[in-house]
Amino acid sequence: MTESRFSAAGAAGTRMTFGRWLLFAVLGLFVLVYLLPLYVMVGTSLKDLEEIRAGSMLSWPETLTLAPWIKAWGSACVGIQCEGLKGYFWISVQITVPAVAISTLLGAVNGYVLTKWRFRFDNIIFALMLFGCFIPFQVVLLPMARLLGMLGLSGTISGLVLVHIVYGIGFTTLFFRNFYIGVPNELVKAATIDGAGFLTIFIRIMLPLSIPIIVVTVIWQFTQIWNDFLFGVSFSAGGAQPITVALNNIVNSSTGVKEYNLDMASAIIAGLPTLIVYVFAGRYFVRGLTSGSVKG
Amino acid sequence: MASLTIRNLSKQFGSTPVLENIDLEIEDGEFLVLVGPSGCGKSTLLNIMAGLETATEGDVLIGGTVVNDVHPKDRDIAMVFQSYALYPTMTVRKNITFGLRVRKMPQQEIDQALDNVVDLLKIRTLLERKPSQLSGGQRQRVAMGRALVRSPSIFLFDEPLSNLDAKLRAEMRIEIKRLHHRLATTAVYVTHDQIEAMNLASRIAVLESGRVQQIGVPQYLYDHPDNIFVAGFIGSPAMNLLPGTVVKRDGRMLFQSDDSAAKEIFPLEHYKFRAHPEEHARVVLGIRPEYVTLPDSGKQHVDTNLLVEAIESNGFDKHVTFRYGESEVTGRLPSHSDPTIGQNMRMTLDLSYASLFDEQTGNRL
Repeated sequence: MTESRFSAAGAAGTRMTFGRWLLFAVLGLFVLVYLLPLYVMVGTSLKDLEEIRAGSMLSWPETLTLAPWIKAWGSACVGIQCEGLKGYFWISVQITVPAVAISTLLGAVNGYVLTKWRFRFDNIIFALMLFGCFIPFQVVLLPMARLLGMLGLSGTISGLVLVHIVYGIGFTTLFFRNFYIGVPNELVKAATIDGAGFLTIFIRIMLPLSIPIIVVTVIWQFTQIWNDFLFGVSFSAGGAQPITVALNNIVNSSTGVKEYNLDMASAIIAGLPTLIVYVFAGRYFVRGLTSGSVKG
Repeated sequence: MASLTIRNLSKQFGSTPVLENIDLEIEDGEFLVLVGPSGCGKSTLLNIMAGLETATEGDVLIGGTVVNDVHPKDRDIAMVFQSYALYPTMTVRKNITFGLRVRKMPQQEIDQALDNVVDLLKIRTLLERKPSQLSGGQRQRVAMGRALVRSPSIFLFDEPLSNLDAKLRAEMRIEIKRLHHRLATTAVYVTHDQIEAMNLASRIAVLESGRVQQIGVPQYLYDHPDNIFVAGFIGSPAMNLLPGTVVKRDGRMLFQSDDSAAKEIFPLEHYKFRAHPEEHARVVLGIRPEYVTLPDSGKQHVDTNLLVEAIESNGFDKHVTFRYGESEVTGRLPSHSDPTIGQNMRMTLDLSYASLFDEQTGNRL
């Protein structure tokens, strides 16, 4: 794939017409527009307040300071408590990791059953799960609040984990089902004759060949759950809020002077994990989305 | 090793019948080929034998025991698939031994069993490779190895050579034949390729529309097809089928063709009738291309002039298509014969191995 990309670029390189220059100019402009907010955020987060008030938004800081970052992490005021984001960061981790792991695993099992252990009305079940993907978050808020109350999970981390798992299953099932539909059924037949049962086939045959789709699902779920604000603000209470809610509280609760550098640093901290996940697993993400079947 | 019996077996998908009243008796050590066009139910039948699908009615017996409710893994069978179905994430070694490891066989016995098949199939150098690093032929060998390693009492093959190119297919065919000769394990082999069927089988069962059309040793099927379907399916180029009428003249039974302008008369006195047709009965005469020959002095033949319409040569012989009234007749001529398109040729239609079918029922007369 890389080779073909190079050769395509090489062929194009031999005839750089005006049209191509224009194309690249426009693309370059889009890149600048896209990167500008990030530049402003990073730049502003490294300035002190004096410079922010005085200088222009686009200038690079004259004196770099890490103070806003340290404050955002350790001592910024979130509501009335002034202990920074670190506690909330940890809460987000506690919510995201189990929710991602469990919803991904359930999606894998669902996809496996829906494609390799077909049963009556399985397509209807799948259609219903798919339908779940298209229900807007707002619609489920009230019933979900009631349900969490009945389960005694209101305002707890476990409650939020449950919400994210339930809401994620539709997507994870869709991903795995569409991946497994491309895995030849003969693999399962062969393993059955070889003496493997439902779980052995799943663990020793299906899961090992699912790496690409696991990466896709994990990235997708991680991004969704880490970035979630609505469920976080609706179903969490007191100190058990995810980082997105805490970020909102920092930005909205500052009295008097608006500390833009602190806001920017906090926002970057809150967004960093998803950024890191993309950087490290991004190429698997693209590969997983485009890879269909498994050729034995 | 074991015999395999299918008793009065039927299968429906919803209300669509796929298999109807199948009866098969496969003896210990036999190599039975199930052949038929796609959609005839042959793969379904094989899956039912394996226990991967259940029959709607009827029994499967292995070694005389009904195994309808026995799980595939406990039927002591092994199966080779068209797509090879190698586990993509495992090495060749792991692929072959997977079944043994799942069954928790002691490591020493696993190594021993692996050793045997690796030598038998000459795949020792491939052991640490993944399936994606193997060629089609090598994958096929590994798939065979995975079946062989458990020393099952019955092998089931589901079109195992269909994905190989012609040359490899011929090689693997011989390989399979050699293995069967050596191991003498009962085998059921599904294919849509009648040449493969003819080459491999100790007996062939021809399936069509969910029914066994005929079962027998390859040569018998070739010479004495039970009906028009089998006649047309077995053999390449296909058997020539000429519609006509049975007539009697001076007490002699004759076949009169519809097609020829001359309304050729074929003598039938040497034909071994199973059922004697009425006079003027509508029938179909079947003559294999190799019995459409250059003029010869056999005693049951008809000489006629035929117009050459097309010639296919494969170096070994020439398949010549002649115009014959409304129909076409194909002849298999020696490679050094010299037919010319557009010219008439004196040809002999030899009836020594001709077949006669009822036009209505398609059954052999």
